[in-house]
Amino acid sequence: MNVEIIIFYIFSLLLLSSSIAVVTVNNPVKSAISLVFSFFCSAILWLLLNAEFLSIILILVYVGAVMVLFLFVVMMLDINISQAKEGFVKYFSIGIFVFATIAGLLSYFFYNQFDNSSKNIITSIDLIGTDNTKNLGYLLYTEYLLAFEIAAIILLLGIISAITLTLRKSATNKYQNPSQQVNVSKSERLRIIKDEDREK
Amino acid sequence: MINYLYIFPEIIITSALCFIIVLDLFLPSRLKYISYYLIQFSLIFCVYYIYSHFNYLDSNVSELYNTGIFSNIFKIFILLSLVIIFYYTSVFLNYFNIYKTEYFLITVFGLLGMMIMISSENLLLLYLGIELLSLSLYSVIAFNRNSLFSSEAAVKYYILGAISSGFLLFGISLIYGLTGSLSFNEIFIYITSLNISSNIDSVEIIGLLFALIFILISLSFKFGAAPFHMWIPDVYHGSIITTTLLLSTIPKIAVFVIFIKLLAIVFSGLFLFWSDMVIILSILSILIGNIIAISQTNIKRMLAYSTIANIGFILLGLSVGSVIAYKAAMFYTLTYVITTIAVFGLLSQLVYKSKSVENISDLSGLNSSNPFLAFLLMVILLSYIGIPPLLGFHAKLFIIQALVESNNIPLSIFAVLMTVIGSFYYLRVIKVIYFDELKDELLITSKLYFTGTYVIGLMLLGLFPDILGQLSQYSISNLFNA
Repeated sequence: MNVEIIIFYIFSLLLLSSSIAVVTVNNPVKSAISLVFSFFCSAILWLLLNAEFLSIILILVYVGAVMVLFLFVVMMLDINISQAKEGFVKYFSIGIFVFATIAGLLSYFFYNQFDNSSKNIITSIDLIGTDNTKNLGYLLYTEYLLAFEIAAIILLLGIISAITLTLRKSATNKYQNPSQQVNVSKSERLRIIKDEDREK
Repeated sequence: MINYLYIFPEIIITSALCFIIVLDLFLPSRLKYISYYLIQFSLIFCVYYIYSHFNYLDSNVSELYNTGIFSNIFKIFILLSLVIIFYYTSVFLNYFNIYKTEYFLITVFGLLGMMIMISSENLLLLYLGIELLSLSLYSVIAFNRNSLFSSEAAVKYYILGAISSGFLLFGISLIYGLTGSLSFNEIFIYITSLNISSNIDSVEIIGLLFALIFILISLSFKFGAAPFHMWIPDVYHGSIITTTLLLSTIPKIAVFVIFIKLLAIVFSGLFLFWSDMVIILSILSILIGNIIAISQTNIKRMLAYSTIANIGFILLGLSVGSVIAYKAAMFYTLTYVITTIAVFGLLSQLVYKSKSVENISDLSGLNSSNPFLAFLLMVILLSYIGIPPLLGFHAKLFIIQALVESNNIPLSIFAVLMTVIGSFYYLRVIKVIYFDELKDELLITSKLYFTGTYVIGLMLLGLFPDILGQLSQYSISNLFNA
């Protein structure tokens, strides 16, 4: 057994158990942290596949940015766990049935398909170097440029719809006007009253 | 790689969007209508561009982005439908004083998504197009933030849509693992090279079927076919009526194009397997749609179930697998969209107790207060049922004809019976309009010139069904020759 296989089995086991923890753990914060851990494990698996760029991006973007935000949101929300768990018994049998069917079919398919596979799909793409990052960049800005730009438009749409849905000016809204605050003069806010009793 | 001159229609729309977004910020609220007219102008200009460069766009040979005649006909149809939808939307939003240019802008983003879906020749682009469309629809549904129903509908649609996108991605990743490509053409070549009939139990075919089922589930969700229809009544009911008008029409065209491209071309080698799946989807849709619609009292919910039933008919046409059947299915889709624009457009112009129409009983006695309007609504509903010589009759006729020609007699009998059951709930609305007592006066938000002309156009299309028939014939034959 070489080291790669040992690492693979260790991290896939960890990945499986942490993914199961995501859906079974009661506390939403713990569940989010297990999700972080499962991302980390899959990043290691990608590293084993020589996809070093993607695995680092996964850690930087998902673990570093997305999940941290997610954790903040989860911590701020007051989630009633007992309510969310209510339908568990009712849907358990259906869930097990669906799970068993899909898992059985998938494992049958994957076992036979990739057992003696000689297909290496990566070879069909023209590569310009052995460097994974360089190849990705090359493909992204040549063959998939259109897809890349469409993704940019999706992000633009995200920004615009988020602003449209949250920004609402109404007469009852209370907001500060900085220039008005700065330009205020003393006479507008202060009224000096002479205390005649004391002066006597 | 792609020559950028071929995606000029999309570039027109995108640049118009970017320009109008910025311009709209600087317009005072009494001049906001300028951006509305600019959007309408850019849509019409885009139609003009596609129409005038029809042959040039057809010469595109890109394997990523197809701008052939088939795609362009659908693009023009979608653009023109959106112009009409925007007209009704602006009338509605102005009447209720909730006009916002962003509503139109977000919808145009969705239009861009649909154009990408229609043209995509690659699963990656297809996915991006679907995401662009669904994201814009989520925000458009949530547009009316004051209503609890709207927010609930948007969240429901968002969560279910995200799950269905996950299904789609899973299917796509399986296909990529099996064939080593995302391009429609290469997947097609791989499937035809498999020699399905001799090794029906081979692992490749099981894998492909697995992927196909996942993709089909996701697309049926977007289409609204039963048993993946649960979101349709709630979302139609929850959103404002012009959003319902938008949701129930043009996205269905785009998804139909995806259906026909994936099933009839890319997965044509697996026809043996998917035809049964599509038949099950369509039977369930027709059954559930027609039977549950009977018990609805809300007109939007009733029309939502009628949408499901209509989708069932479209799928019934697709399941046959012959060119005539595809033509019939396309004819049905176009008919459905034209009729649905008419019915929701007309309903969006009605005001009952200073709100838009919700219940069927709101319409009672419409004939005594506004006979012309009642007549228009009756014509549209009769077209839905399929009374000759209206358009709906020809659509149903072509579908059933295609079924009979493929010797599928039980299914065609089922379709006819279900049409009879379905006619009940349309006729009930007509009964409410003509024979019930007038309760409260219904107001109209604008003059009926446009709706009147549109419905007369609908009647003319029904009298000359060859116009749409030739169009379907032409585009379907181009799809298979390309």
